[in-house]
Amino acid sequence: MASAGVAKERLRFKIPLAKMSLNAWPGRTDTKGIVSALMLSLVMIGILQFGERLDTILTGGLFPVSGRVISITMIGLGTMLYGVVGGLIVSEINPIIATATGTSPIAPFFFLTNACQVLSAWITGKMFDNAITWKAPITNGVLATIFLVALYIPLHIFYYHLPVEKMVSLYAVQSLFSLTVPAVLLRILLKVVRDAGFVEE
Amino acid sequence: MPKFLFASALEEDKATFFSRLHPTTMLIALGCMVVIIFSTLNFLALLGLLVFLFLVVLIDGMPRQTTFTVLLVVIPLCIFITLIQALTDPNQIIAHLNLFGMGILVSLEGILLGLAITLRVALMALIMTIFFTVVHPVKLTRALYELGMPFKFAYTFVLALRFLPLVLDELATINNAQKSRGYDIDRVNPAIKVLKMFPLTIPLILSSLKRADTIALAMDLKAFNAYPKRTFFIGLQKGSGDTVVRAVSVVAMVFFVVVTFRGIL
Repeated sequence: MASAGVAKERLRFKIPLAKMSLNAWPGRTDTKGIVSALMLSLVMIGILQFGERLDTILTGGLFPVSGRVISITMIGLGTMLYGVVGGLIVSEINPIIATATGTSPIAPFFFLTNACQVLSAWITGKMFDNAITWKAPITNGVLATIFLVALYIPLHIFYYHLPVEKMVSLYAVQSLFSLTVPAVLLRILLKVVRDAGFVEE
Repeated sequence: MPKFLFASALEEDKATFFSRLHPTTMLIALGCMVVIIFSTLNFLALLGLLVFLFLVVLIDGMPRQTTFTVLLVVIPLCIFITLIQALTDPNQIIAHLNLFGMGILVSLEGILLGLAITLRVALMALIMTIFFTVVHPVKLTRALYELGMPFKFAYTFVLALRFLPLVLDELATINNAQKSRGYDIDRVNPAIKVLKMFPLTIPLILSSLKRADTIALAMDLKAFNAYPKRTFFIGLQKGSGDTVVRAVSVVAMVFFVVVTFRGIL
């Protein structure tokens, strides 16, 4: 009975997964945590090269779909692995590099939109004892989508003067993708990272 | 350092006026420019600002190609925004089109508004690019540290710039390895490309995390962040140019905000 209890306890994967004995805020802030989060942010930048091009061609980057799927997945992974500070490193390096390289005209706004995805992953971590389940990535996807839509609507109204009521179908398509795809990708990535031995007690 | 960072590759004797300025001065100038850009949607005022920035780039001797490339990225956005504004604005209709049985109205006011918004986006993109073009990343790290940011976080920007080419090389290697196995991401339907990225993403994440272990160990062995106060090889000094740029930026910002809110612009 005791061993079964221990086994069940071991199945709980608490945020930050890279050092579960720490709190999610601030998370893992030693050199290893910072450098690992940084490398994840660079991976995100690398993958976004493929995704952002499509978004820019289709809607000028105003209604990103691929970019959003990649960012929710990678920022969710970074926050769940290294906590809030690690998540912020993953999320905020991308807009700096995107601004410096001029890859996206709306890159300055990614500072805010990416940060809200860290918040969604942090809240998810607070809600669930075990991050490596289906519930956690799905909740993360739902929260991130809500936060992003809530941020993009004022941006579209005040900055781009877009008629938001006529853009509902675009928001719907965007949300459909960001609700479903990142949850699946994040769940798979969390399992892969755990099985590769990057999760510590 | 990546090639796009003009300031990092610049030798001290060839430094331009703006690349010699203190990073905090450039941060203040950037902040003021952002406020100015946001304070108005007047097409002529925004066009004037764009011309001013063009002149700054040309006179200061910044690399034209890398700085102005950002404007090319704005073109799809320009088309998208102008199209939406032209088709949804109900005022000043200049054309009535019949497309597949649907009546479409084209508004002149919408076109002008779309162009003004695009100009604003282009200005934002250009000003940010200029900032990162002229500010040396190491000097920026030091300035952020002086402003109170912990060094280990301020340093991540420099670290990111150092390792970005490495990660991109790794991605290219993994891509080639998958191609040799018959998995060519470049031939995948663009609409589902993100879903098909997984065979590239997983090896890249795992190899990057393994590499991070080694880098962190090497940094710890060299006593990274071991002492609360640290010294710097690169010095930062404020000159008379800094005072002038700060004063001009703040005065211009106040002038623009006042003029806009009084309805003159």
